[in-house]
Amino acid sequence: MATFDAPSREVCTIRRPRTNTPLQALVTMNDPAYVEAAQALARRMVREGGATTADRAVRGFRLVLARQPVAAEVDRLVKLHDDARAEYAAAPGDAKNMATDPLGPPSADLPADLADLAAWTVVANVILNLDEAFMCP
Amino acid sequence: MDPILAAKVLATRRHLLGSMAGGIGAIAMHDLLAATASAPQPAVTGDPMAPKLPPLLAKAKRMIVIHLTGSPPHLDLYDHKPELVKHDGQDCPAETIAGKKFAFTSGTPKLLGTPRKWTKCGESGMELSDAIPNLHRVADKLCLVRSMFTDQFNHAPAELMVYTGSPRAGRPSLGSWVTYGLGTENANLPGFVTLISSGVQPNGGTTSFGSGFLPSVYQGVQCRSKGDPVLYVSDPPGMNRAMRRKTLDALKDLNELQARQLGNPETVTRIAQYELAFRMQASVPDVMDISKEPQAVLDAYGAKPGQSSLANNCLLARRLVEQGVRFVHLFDWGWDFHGTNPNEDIRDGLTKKAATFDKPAAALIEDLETRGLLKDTLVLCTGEFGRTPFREGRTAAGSILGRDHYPDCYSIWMAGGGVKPGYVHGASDDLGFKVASDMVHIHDLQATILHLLGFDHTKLTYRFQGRDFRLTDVHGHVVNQILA
Repeated sequence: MATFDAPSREVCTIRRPRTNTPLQALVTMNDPAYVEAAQALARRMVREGGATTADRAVRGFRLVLARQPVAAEVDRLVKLHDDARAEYAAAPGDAKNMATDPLGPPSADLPADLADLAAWTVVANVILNLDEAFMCP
Repeated sequence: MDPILAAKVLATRRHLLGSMAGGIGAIAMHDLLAATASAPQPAVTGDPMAPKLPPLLAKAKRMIVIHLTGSPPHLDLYDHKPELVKHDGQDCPAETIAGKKFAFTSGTPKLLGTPRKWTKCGESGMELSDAIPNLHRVADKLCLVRSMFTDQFNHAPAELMVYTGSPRAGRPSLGSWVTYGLGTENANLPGFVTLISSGVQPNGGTTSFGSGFLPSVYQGVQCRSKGDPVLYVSDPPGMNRAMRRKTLDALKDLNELQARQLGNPETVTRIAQYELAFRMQASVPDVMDISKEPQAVLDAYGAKPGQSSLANNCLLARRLVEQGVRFVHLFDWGWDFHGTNPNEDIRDGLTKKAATFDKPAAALIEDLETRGLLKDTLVLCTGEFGRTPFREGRTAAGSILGRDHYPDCYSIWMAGGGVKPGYVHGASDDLGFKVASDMVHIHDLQATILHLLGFDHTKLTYRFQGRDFRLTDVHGHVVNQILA
């Protein structure tokens, strides 16, 4: 927690400084807890978002940021999804890792397409790392 | 519809209140600024680690600390006391122990003369013991202080005293003060790196390299010798570098949309920090990989890739400062020579332990010099305190020779970065109980270190809890005699 300015228990503070360090970025991009959260969010996007890629992107965006994305935001997420989907389709091993490590295999009600879930995990990882997700504007 | 306009149409209550708060704040700020136009404003944006010039002329640009956790027996390494040898085994004179308390000794202990052999080294004739033969080679580059003293006689408070200026936890450490004052030169690496060998954390815990009440960006980043050198520096399974780049491009585009809409400079900072994190993912594992060093260099340090050792860490320290890291803090556990087991015997035990230290320490000084770095890199080697001129109480009846903790007089050395080479400062008295000349307190040492790095130690401050704090609290005098 020290990476996120929590005081160690040896001292107290009435105001946590707000820092913005690369070490924090490494945690929120790569910590297994964050990856697991992205995998879970990806599954909700697929399960709850509707049929189209755009609808699913919107669902993830609203779940995290509690607002409707603008068209440019949806387009950017859809583009990332489609790029990632194509790459993971050609790399099944990576797709399996990205989609299931550490959360585990998806439940039966989800499509068995791991490349797609991996791509959504990548999208979810981005949404969870948006500045707006950390700092309320 | 224009996406920006669309965003405005879809603005939520949060946006509205957020922008209103900014608007109202800006109006209030206008008045406040008018009232205090000359008052310096705290910088809220920009990189806190950007390199800064110190206010005074600096002799040292960066620093490496080798901390020997537990405190080495200075009377068997650095300070030869023939009188103590002459009176070995006799009771301590009453005046030397009157009214004093020791960690593990009571009653009247027996004087312990060193069993080590001594050599006058180099042109300076600096006398060093046979436990550290490799340091003999670099004696003419060392600045040895034989007149150190501190206030604390137990490990944790004494270690905190050395590195935070206070025996109680909570203050910023030396490395965090230095990076707070100077920033760092390589934006792809942490500015303050801590490396720990012998598998045991410092006595002062992470506070010994923490940032206390300074912003956490100045805390020492502990790099590890196995696995990820920095926590989560590796991408998760299934994410390759190309894919990480794509996610960061998307993140950057989305954050930029946000920044254009709301104009929050912190968003811009965050974009920059993610880009730095991406670069660190490549540069940190690279600088931490000593297997790329030529075999001759590995041999000089006694370093072996993949191990956790002081030798590896000394080599890493050189690699890090060479890459522009401002402050490298090494901790090596295992120097608490009480004599409670054969490893803590000042004869064979010390010979073995010192061999893991003096070879890489000497190699570090020579390596820094070869690369032209020694002239502006300050190296400090110290423990928390010294060790007694008498045998430790608990082990006095056994066959193993050990010494108790001793704060009143001990030795440390520095090298490079503006200190006098081949110079001995101060002296202990004949039996080594007291400083005989040129006393140097911990706060004096800190004031001197900051001076070498270009700071007036009374002016490098940070306001906290209603007052300006500094490393030396309200004490400390620069030791001018040791300046080159």
